[in-house]
Amino acid sequence: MEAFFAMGKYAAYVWPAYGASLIGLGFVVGVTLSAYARAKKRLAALENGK
Amino acid sequence: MNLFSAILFRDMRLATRAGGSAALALAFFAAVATLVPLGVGSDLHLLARIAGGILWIAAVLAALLSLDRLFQSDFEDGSLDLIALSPLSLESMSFAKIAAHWLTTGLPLTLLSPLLGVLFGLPLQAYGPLMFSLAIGTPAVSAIGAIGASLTLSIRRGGLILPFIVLPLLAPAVIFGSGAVLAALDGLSNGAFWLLGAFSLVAVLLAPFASAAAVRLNLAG
Amino acid sequence: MASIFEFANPKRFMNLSGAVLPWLAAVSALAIVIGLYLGFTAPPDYQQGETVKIMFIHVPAAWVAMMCYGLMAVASLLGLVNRHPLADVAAKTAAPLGAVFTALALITGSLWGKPMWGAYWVWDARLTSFLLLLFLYLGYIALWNAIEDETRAARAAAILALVGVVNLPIIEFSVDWWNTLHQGESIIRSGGPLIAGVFLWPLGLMAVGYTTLFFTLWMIRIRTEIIERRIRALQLGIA
Repeated sequence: MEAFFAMGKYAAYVWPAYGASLIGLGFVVGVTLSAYARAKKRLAALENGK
Repeated sequence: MNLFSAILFRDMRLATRAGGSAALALAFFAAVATLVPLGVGSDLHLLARIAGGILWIAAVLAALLSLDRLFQSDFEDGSLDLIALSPLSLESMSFAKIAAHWLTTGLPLTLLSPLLGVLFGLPLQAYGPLMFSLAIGTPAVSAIGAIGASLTLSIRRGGLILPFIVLPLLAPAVIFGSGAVLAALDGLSNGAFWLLGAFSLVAVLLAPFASAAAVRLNLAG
Repeated sequence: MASIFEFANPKRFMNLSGAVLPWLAAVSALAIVIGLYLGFTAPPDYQQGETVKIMFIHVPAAWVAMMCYGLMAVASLLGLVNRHPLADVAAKTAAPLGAVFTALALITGSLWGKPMWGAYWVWDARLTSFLLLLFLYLGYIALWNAIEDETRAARAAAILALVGVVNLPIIEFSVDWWNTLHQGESIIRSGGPLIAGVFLWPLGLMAVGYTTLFFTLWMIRIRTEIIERRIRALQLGIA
């Protein structure tokens, strides 16, 4: 298990790379989905208000 | 006098009056070239090696200074609308403006460059390549700069975003231009002049079309 | 003859994308999960050791970054030439995605390079090109935001995207040329990893996963924009 995390002494490079990708993709997915959800809610509110 | 020459000479006259863009470009060019040795130290061997790159970057930045007004002043006082209605095509007008810009910034910068090369301790064999690379490369700067200028002409303070758009597109010119000087320093030939010339030629031929399209969209709105 | 443009009017797009989206998202999630699993259970590379695992998130990101710019350019062309209603929206929504993938490619590429080349940034031809690509994306986004009128912004950005796409191969060529010019003075780059079979599967799956992820997010963003335009239209109608 430790060997897995050590990544053959390259841990300082592999894990930050994956971490950055996770953060970056997570951010863009989060922003995209929340903007979409908000827009749908506003549209539903407007259409129901009519 | 036909309309093309009229625009060409008028833009040149505006640029070369006191405090106009020509003087500004030259002053900026000289200022940057003077500051760099102050910043990196007076080791002439180092300075000679970076001279090509520094002078090329300084030339690009100096030429950029006056670009945002290239179309904007005519846009603001309505001259652009008049030209659009005239028999002169917007493409020809763009070409005239690019030519005027080069003649009043790129060309003077090229002529001043040997003097600044002395400040960098450039060896004798590099002066010709330096001037030649600037001479054939700065038209690309004016051309691609004009595209950026026409795209941003309706933006308030469009001058802020202009360099940001234009500089990445000018990377090949800087690379080939300074590469040519570097080759001369090492006594090699690396085809930089051919590449630079081709880049400039394509830029100058295509830019008027992109510029005209950008002017058109800004006038239509 | 049904043309692709028929699918692109807003209502049809909403219907089509609504049907496709769940599948796209599922494929993306599956591909990435399996790809990651295969990637992490793969042995270390003979030359690069475990850093080869960075390849699985670097190459797909770089690939998507390039593909996105190409798609942006195509959408820009369609918007300019055909005045297609959705083309401008497509181009506008693609750009931030492309910028993020480009940034990821740069970060992972830099981390991949450090153990190989000794420094976080060595002006490698590929990474330098991607840095310039990032600036092209940011300039494009800045132009959209700087011009107030939406139609004008769309056309101006479209011209910029097209100028950029023509210039991009030239930029890459010049950076590559510059890199070989200076190679004698800097660290010699290895010829690039030879991809052993055991790495091809995770790489391929991650590439599929990243690409489908991009298309999923892109579609959602276009749907969001369409919804927001409807909201504006309704508000104007009510007001």
